[in-house]
Amino acid sequence: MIAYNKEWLNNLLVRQQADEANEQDCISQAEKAQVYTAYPAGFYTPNFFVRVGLFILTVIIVGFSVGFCSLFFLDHTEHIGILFVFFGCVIYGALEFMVSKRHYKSGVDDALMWMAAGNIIGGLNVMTNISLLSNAIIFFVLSFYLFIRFTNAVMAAIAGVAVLAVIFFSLIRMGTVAKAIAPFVILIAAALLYFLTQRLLKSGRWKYYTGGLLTLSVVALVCCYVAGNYFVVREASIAMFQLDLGPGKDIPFGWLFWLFTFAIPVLYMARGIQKKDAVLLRVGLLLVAAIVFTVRNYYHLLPVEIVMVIAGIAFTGLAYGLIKYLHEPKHGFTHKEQKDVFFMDKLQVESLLIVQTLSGPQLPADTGTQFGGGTGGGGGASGQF
Amino acid sequence: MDIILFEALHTRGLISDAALERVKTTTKNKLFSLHWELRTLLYLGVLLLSGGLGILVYKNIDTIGHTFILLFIALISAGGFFYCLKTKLPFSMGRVAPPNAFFDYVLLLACLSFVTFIGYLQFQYGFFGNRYGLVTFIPMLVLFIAAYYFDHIGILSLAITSLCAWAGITVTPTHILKDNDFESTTIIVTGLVLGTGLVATGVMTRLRNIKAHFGFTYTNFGMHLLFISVLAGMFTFGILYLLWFLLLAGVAFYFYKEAIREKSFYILVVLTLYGYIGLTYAIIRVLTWNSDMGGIYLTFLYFIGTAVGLVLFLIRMNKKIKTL
Repeated sequence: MIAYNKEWLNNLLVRQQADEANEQDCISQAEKAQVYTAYPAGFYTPNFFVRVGLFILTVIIVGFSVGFCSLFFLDHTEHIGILFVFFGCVIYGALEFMVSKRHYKSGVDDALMWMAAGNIIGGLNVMTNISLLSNAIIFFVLSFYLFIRFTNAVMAAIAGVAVLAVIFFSLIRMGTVAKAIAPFVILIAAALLYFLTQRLLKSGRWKYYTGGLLTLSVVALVCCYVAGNYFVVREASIAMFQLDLGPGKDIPFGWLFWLFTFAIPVLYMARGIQKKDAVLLRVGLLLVAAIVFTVRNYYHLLPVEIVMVIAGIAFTGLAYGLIKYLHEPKHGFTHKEQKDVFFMDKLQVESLLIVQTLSGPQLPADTGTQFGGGTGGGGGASGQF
Repeated sequence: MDIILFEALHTRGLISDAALERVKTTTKNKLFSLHWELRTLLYLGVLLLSGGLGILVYKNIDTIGHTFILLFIALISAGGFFYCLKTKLPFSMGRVAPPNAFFDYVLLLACLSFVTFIGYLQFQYGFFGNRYGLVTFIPMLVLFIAAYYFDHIGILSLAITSLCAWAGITVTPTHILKDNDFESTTIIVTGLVLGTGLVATGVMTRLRNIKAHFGFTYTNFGMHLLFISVLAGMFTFGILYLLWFLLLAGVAFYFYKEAIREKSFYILVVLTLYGYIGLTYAIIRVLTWNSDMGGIYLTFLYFIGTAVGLVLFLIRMNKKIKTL
């Protein structure tokens, strides 16, 4: 099933474990080196940045090759769809070839995989008019296949969304009752998908798919929430099912969806803390933002700046309290970092984030509303020079 | 960690008895780290608080006195700086770790509110008159001092962006191309001078060992600014583009040496991509000189050929840097 050399994949996992043990000072550098020699992995996997570079260059090569070949078919534009599908298959062939040349997460195989899928799907859609349902099925089949064959995590995520889309689009063809229960069906399906990923992760038989399954579980959790979210259900009903809501009228089972909107993130976080599960905890935290947006969309309880100030105080206060509380590790929790972040450190991601989000004193006049009408340094600097 | 795996490694004689014991105890006592969650929460908190207070002030400008607002902002800033001064560890030319988890964020809040303070002072009272330069210069100075004194790379990045703002250039990552008019000669020249200056500062930082870990931040900002300015020069001064191309080649060569010295894959890939853009521009101008179909075919072939060449180049360089 997997295109890559399985023994090497396994050895990579062993090496990962050795790295981790070495970082936590359990095994020495020499022991790590011994493990590395005992578990060879002959893949061609360059440094991350080189991978990005190779990805871009491969996209250029394939794009211009496809363009170049298309130049000869300029007079036969009616067959352009078939041409793209054909190119997609050729690119897939190139992908298999590069993988057989030991490329693994080298940027080349990533780029070829995405371009093969893109060409095939694009070509099919150009060829004939495909319904949403059929497109969802095509997406699912392709991404699921590529996930299984190349263990790609993003493909797993797409496959997860696609399978829910297939269920949704086939349901809404079945009439009014089916439409009414669609949110519940999707919610249950997503929940089942989540439990499936958990079972597969635990069984240990799918260890090469760990990354993909984790991504899939995040997707399932988010979809589960989206299906039950009041805003999504209400707006989707209005937009897709022509539900005509008079003023002051609510969607059927409105209270239930409000309950979901609030309860699901809380449930995720509670379970996440209870089971020490980072995925549940982080998704739950993220979805708190979704609660705020949903509520604010229908009830303007407070002006936005008051909400920001209150949230700011609450967040800093909560973080402050927790860090103080966890000064000594309690109940197996700590606020100190595990040593798996030196990649982030090297890139100084946080400093980039600060510059990007709080662009200092040079705020140009048009964006600087927070400074009493946008003055600050910006007004002067950008106008003057 | 996977105990069964380490037991297998132990039986194969790859790790010692003590190591296996350590793996077992570490795994048993493994803690669940909330580090990133808490940091994100703190960061979001500071962001929301400073943003929310800003809007609050803006909206209520008529009802609260300006003096009061100024005082309030000054108080936050001063309080933050005071806290930082009190808790900071002694200054050193090397890296100084923050004394606790909040230090960085308090400093960030203090610096941001100081910037707001100066801007507000100018907006409301015209404190600096027509010397607009001062309005960016003073915060920049304070940011640089704070960055060095308290050892905060995020503040240093803010200081560098405000240095560039003072010189008239926006360098916020996603705005660098949008907000600057790179067809203006002044901007291009400013960019070249600033970029060179930043790169030089990066080198000095390293050689003199003054906060050597700040070096990458300088080099990174300087590198992108230099490359973009040189490329802009090439696109703008049409006739002289070969001259600019030579300059680009020089800059690329410098960073090539730098990438080898630093063993930095990042610098290598950045210089490859910028260099490729420049080369492509130069060649395409020649190929499409008399706009017929042949030129277009050649253009396509050029892209395919050079990209393949660069792939091989990157693969070779990856090997080279790895074995350094």
